Amino acid sequence: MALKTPQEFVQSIADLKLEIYLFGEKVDDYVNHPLIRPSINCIAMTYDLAAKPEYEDLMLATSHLTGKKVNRFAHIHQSTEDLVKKVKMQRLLGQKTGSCFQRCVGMDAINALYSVTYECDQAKGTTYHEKFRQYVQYLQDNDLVADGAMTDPKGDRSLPPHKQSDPDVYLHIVERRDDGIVVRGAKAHQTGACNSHEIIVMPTIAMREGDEDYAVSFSVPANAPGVFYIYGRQSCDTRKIEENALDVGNSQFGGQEALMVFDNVFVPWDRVYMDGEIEFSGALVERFAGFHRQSYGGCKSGVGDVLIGAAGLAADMNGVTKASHIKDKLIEMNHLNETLYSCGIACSAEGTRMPAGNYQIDMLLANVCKQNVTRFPYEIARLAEDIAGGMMVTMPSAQDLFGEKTGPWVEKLMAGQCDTPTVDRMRVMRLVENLTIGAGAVGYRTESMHGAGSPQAQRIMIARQSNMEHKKKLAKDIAGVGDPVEPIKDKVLKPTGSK
Amino acid sequence: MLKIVYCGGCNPHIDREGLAAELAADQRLTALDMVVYISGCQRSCRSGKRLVLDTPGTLVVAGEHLDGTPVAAAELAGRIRDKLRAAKE
Repeated sequence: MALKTPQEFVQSIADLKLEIYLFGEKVDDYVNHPLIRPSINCIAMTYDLAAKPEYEDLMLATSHLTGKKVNRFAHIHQSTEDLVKKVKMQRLLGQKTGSCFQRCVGMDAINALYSVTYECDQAKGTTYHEKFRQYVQYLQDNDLVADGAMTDPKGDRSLPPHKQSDPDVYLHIVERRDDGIVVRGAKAHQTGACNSHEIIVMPTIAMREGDEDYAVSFSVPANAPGVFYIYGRQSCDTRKIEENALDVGNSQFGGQEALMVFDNVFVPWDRVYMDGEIEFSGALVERFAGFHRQSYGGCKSGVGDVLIGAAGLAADMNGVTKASHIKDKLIEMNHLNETLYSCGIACSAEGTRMPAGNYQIDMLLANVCKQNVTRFPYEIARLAEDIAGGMMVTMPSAQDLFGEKTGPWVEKLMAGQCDTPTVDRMRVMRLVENLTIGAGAVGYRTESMHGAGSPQAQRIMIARQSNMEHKKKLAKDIAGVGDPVEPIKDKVLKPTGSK
Repeated sequence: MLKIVYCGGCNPHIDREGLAAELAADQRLTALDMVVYISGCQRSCRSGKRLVLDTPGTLVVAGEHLDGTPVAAAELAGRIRDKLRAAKE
């Protein structure tokens, strides 16, 4: 099957007839719902750009399974160049949507599972890897979107999964049958879940003895019987169902999160990729998180480009472009944004080929990348708000701009630099608002904090991999710790050499 | 002859030289016609960023990994010895 067009993608999501609830009601025509459609447009962009020759180098890759061109979101990375291109593609899509474009979680899930299933088979004689390769080819051949579903609701964090008072707070196997397994539970914060053809489930933490029923990985169609979605709210989300698009800030694109419920869902054995192998659950969590922490170096810097651009426009429209402190703030925003990107590129360039043949990012640098992402977008947002001024949160509504009595007053009093139409100044202010405290801030700020793991998760990984003993030895050698005390002349004139 | 090939050593998580010395001390191993690539960390620079090589007669050490399998630093020499002997047989 050829790559899908954006229109074919939207229709294919409509055809799934997903069971989605929003504001307490089931939404049947979800692809045309004004609150949901912007998020569908984001993924449609991943199809749109893939069809354009000017973006093909980043958006397409050659499948190692079939030799055919596939969307990079369904690709298993075959080189460090692939890893670098992934980050560049994500920056591009952040720039084009000004939003979380949601398709990364599936890409990161297939790349993590690819190596873990291989290593599990090698160690335990299971047969997951070949099944998983066939599944990846199915995704590629049909140009499908997969949701990588990892985060369980988790209940009481002080207790392991099998000791929770309600077992459903961690997704688990409730029955093993001749033809497959039955699972129950939920996945929370699921980015792009209602825009996906497929769901790939992974355990949320490294499982221990007693948690075997929770160490489960599988895939199901997004419309599998028993799966339903409760759509998440975003700050200012109901602006999307108002009459005028102006107050949304980014009316065409937006992120999406949902609580995904599995109410006794059947999974056939050929779609099960982990069934109780607790010793491989930790590796799967770490690798998925590692790939996703790399992802943020691309997508967040792409959205950052849009916010920096909006701050620059706001400065122009406010007539303060020449002020030295404004120039300096824009430089600082760019510096921070490029640092995020640099980390994404660095962990990709330092990637390695795994025994399964796919390439994995450097874990330490990917965690450093994400740790910076938990901070820098907040500072970039603060500077954008500083430059934009208070108008972004106090200005009148679109209805007032076009109101019979209020319109002329809003038009002249909200005007800035004389060449700028007031409506455009208000549009830019609303975009800054969207990304810093509105619906877009879900993706740009809080998702930067908690998506792909909260800050402490990265610090644990950094502590584990930062090789402190080596650093101490370097310092000891330079300081001469343990050396005899010598006259400086003798010390300096000694031939140099490593210890 | 057993050949040891080192990475550049910018970020060693293991004592590369100590590991090589342990292997060199075992004369039954040094006579083997094999290559051990020793990279100090998992970036595995010396073996072309690969945690395992398809080429027969090669072993890859990348920090606390031997041919892609996690191995504690203290156990590396023993595990390499076992693999070299197994390859000989």
